[in-house]
Amino acid sequence: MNLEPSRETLDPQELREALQGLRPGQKGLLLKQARYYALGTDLSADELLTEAIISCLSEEGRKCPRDLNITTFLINAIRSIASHRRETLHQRPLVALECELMGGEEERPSPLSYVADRSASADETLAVLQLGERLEQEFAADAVAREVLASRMQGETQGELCSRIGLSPQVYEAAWKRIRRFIERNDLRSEWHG
Amino acid sequence: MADLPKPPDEALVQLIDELDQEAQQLDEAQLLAEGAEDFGSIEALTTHFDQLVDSACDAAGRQRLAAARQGFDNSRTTAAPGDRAVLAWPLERKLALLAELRAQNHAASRYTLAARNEAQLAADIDQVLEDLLELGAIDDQGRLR
Repeated sequence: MNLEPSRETLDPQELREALQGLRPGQKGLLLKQARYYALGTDLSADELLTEAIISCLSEEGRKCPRDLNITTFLINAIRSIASHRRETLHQRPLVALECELMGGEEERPSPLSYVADRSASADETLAVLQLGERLEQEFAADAVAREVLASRMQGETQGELCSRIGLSPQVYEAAWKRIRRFIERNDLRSEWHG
Repeated sequence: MADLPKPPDEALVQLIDELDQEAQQLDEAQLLAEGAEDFGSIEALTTHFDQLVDSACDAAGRQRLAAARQGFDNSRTTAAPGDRAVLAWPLERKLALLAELRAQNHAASRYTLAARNEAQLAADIDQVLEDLLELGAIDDQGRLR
């Protein structure tokens, strides 16, 4: 066994110091990222971030190269853990989100038909409905936000949506910020999982 | 834009990617302003983050310690049969070893004679040998020390 610590990667103490030495804005960024990536998992943002840090500190875990930005490194860890959690959970309640928020302007499959086609369990269907209700409630009076959210989830660009429904870039950006800030300020985990 | 909605898992990943990219475009001032809004102040944000790091470090430390203990326990458990070859000897050979201890008036023979009777069951003999190993009176190969 090689007992000599690798000089190419940070040891646990160095990693701890590096994390606590981050600028406040970087800490805020990591907290935001944890909030996003916790969506669709059974973890809260704090739990996900904690798990990512633990995975970087454990003996057999990820090792942070000295020449890599630690924020990038940790975001990658968060992304990887969240992805694995979602795969494990076979999570698929997002199906209804953009469908419910499409507002029926275009002909699209019914949101719940997608769930039914994929043989979702009663619990998952309930989770979809809860999430839909939560976002429906939040953006009930905000048709633009509903359009923008559905559009972003489908990978449509800002320009495409703006030209399709005649939206100004400023209005689009303001709506997207409302969505982003709502997600950042709320633990939607329980909505996904009931 | 695709004609059909993305499958739910893809739509979720798409949304997260969009949020991720958006956040990475924010500059320090924007991150601080939003962080202060979310946590009440920048100090509260940093305190919250640092506490998460502390608790994660503590948890990782406990995990490393538990793993080390487990590894130690495993090494003891798995090493015993191979390393303590004397315990795998036939009963007659074990009895001969104890007799030799007694014949040499080895210090440990007082233990074996006082506490045990060599005619006892094999399991009892093994216990004596294990005690002698622990005492250092014999080595793993049954050699007297």
